[in-house]
Amino acid sequence: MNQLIIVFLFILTYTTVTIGTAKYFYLLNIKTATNRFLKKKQENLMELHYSFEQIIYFYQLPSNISLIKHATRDQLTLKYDYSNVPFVQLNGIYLQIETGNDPIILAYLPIKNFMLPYLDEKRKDGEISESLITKISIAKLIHEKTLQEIKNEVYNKAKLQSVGVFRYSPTDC
Amino acid sequence: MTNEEIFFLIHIILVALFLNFIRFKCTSLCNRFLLIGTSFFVFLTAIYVFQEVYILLLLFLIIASAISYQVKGVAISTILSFFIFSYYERVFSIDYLLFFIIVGAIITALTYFIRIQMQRNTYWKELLIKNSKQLNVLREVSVAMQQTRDLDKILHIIITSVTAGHGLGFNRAMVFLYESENNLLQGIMGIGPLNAKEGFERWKEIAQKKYRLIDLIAFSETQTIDPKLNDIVQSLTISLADDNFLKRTLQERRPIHIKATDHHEQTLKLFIETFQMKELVAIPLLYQGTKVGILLIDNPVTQKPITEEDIDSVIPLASQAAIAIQQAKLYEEIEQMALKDGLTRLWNQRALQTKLSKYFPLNSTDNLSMIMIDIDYFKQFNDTHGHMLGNEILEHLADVITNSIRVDDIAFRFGGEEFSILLPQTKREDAVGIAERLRKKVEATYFTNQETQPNQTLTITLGIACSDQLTAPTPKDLINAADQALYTGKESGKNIVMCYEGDKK
Repeated sequence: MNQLIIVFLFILTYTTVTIGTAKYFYLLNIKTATNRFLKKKQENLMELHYSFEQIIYFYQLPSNISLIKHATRDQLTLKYDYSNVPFVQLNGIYLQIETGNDPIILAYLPIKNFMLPYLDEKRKDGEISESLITKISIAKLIHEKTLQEIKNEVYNKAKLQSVGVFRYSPTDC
Repeated sequence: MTNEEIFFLIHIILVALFLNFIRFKCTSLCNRFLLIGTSFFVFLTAIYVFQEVYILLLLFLIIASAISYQVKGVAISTILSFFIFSYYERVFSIDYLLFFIIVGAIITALTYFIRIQMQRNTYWKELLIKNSKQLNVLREVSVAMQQTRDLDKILHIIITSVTAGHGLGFNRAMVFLYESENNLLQGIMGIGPLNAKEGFERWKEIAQKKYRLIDLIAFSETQTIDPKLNDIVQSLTISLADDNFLKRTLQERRPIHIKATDHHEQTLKLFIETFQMKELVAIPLLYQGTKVGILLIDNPVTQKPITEEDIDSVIPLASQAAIAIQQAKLYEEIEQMALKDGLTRLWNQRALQTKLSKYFPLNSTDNLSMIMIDIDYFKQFNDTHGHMLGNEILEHLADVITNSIRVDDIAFRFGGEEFSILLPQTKREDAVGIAERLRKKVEATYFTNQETQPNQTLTITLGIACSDQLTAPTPKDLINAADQALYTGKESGKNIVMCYEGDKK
């Protein structure tokens, strides 16, 4: 019986370590592969431009819903959307407002639509594989500066004063 | 725990870490293979240590196979487990085989159920994202469209929404509007590159400057977008008398999806060669069954194949566009009716006030000249021949005036038998030349029953004034000055061009 418990614990340990560290090694691999490619091409991740265009909003912003209207910047959080444990894959990021109970999902940025002109160009020239495109896109998306910019973009959009007014300063953050 | 067990614990932790370090470097298939392979390796090492409970390990192997390779994985691992069991227990029984098959089936069912749930969640999420995006676009486009009645701006909003990344993300879009009088499609506007290189440059600029859909829509107010493409699009006139893909799109009232390899007809060939198209979709713009135009879309930059779902996503926008275009056209027609004279089809006096304000010079270096025209002895002509023939003369004279002025000059029916012409950026001397030419042309033109006029011909008197002749010029002063010159001409014997003397000392 003792041995049964020990074997069970070992299986649990193996499963937990495999699943628990999968995200870390997944992202580590993405960063390594990205750096290797960009170094070879003498490019810098920070200098790859991207567009906010593919952020999908689930609420009309600015919104008249008081929880959204009165949300502070600190309440707006980012959450990675992973799938296929143990074959981890980042599908996108959620931008949500923490309300204390269930968060309000304001927007979502799907990774497959997170477009970088540099990668599109390399794809057309046949210099890069689709899996590497995905890895570099993810590396750009999860970069601290990108995440902050996306957060600011959504926050600014949510904080426009009147419904129907769309123009605002991108530096207003 | 014994030393052996502690050693084994460290061993499996290291194996798990190494597995994760390696497996994300390769493809999805290889990832799965590594996971099941490593699990099998862990099983093999464990079986030496924990021979008594190897059944639990077999169960773990089957579950790992089910996660990695679903039914196939379970089938192979179940059979393998059965043989390992038979080897250890030294028995080969159909009952045990049945037992393993039942265990495998249960694990398959469980993993299948979990996978189906996950797939369903993914499906719903993707559906939500797709529809939310479409709603986002429609919402922004509706707001943008509501802010204008100008047809060009509406068309710009539509094709920007179709091409912008935040919109529907096609590389290029063009609009052709239907002209019912001539049964043809006229190219009006396009957005997009002529080639992939140009497209990437534009795409980089949009990404670098972080332009949003609303910024791209606003560009039409400040700059000309894609002038080369627009020049080509605007030069295209497609007759719908002959059978072609655009005619079929309007007739069949549904989008037509064409691969460039299909082409054999002349019109399609023209589009494919002119715009280097590899694949395109023609979408009809219809409003209550009325043909409004055609929206053409393609992906010359990314060469991304256009799917049925892509086409479906454009349909709501195309429907909304058709309504907005039709309304803008109706508004333009009503505006024309309000500003044009019903008899002569020249601009009316209300339009004169607007155009005067628009063209009136803001500084002394610019000039605006005005010619006032009155038909000589027209009351007498009307009294003799009636108003119907009088109207005919007015129409005829309007045609003569329209054909005599320059492209930038604007002719108006001022009222009754009086006409006026605005000549932007024109000095008095040049206006005199134009007026004299017009006077002679009218004199030389035959008008019905002109023999009954005092000079046996229909003549006009013209008064000219220029903004530079006025001390503190206002639109009203310019009209008065030209009118004053006209009456001086009338008093001087008619059929004459008379200039305002000027009020500058």
